[in-house]
Amino acid sequence: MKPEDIDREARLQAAAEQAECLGHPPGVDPGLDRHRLVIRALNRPTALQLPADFAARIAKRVLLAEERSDIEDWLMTLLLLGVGLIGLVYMQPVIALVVQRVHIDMPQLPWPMIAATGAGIAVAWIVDRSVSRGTTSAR
Amino acid sequence: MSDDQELVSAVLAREAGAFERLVARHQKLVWHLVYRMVQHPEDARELCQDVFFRVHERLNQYRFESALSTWIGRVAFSVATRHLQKKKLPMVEPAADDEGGPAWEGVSDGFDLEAACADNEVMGLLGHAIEKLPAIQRTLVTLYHLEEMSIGDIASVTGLPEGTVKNYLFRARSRLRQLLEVGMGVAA
Repeated sequence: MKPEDIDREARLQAAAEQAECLGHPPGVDPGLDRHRLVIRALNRPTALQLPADFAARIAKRVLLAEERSDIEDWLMTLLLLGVGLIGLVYMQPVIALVVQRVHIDMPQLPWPMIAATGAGIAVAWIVDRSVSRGTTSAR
Repeated sequence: MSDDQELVSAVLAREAGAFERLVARHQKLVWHLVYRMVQHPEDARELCQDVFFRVHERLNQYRFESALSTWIGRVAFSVATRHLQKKKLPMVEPAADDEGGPAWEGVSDGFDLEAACADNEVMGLLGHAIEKLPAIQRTLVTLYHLEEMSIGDIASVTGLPEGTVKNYLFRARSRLRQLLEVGMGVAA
């Protein structure tokens, strides 16, 4: 295409688009009308469409996947806690030995305070987990 | 709060029916984009599902820097592009049997726009000519004409510079007009 042809083509395309947009009556310029026919063909939706219940089906599948993921998360948490507890019980003699070596007098430790701190951390973790669940699980 | 923000917040808060609303609102865009790109109804349906699963998975990464439709369009474009790459289908080159215009025997020399529009054969053949455009041009004309997206938004969806988008749009429309005139026996 020569530069002048390109300019003419571009001008006709823009004019056809504008005429379609403004709803000008056809028949004035057959050349322009052919451009308008192209615009009309391009504006036509495809014959095939997604099924009417597509959105509902997708949403249902996503919900099922979320529920499955929640259950998996909790099972994983339980598993990790269980493994941790078993590990602590199993390592108890070693821990006791280490504590003796560093000369910590166990009975003199503030056990109620340590228990309260542990409980506080656990509660904060549970609250944080349930609050963030709404945002993270939607990923 | 904009509509997009409200909807996204509702989906992230797992409000009942929120994601279904999001899908219903954008499924037309995703379908048009994906179907025009891959041109295979079954593949397109599956890819549309993938698009919305991916949208759900990554919605927390959406930062409201563009309209939600633009962001979803980008996801759809990326999914469809990957599909074409996997199938080794070209994005830019025209289809192999693109040479030569269709035989529009029913079209007379005297051109009547309204009659041509009402003529299913003419519109069907023009539709066929659109299908024969290169994938990238089909995608761009779909976003521009069918989804009425701005050039800037199309550039954002496809990652192409705005000048390239305009150039492809121009070439696609020019090619369709030429095919129409060849079919009608009109000198260009």
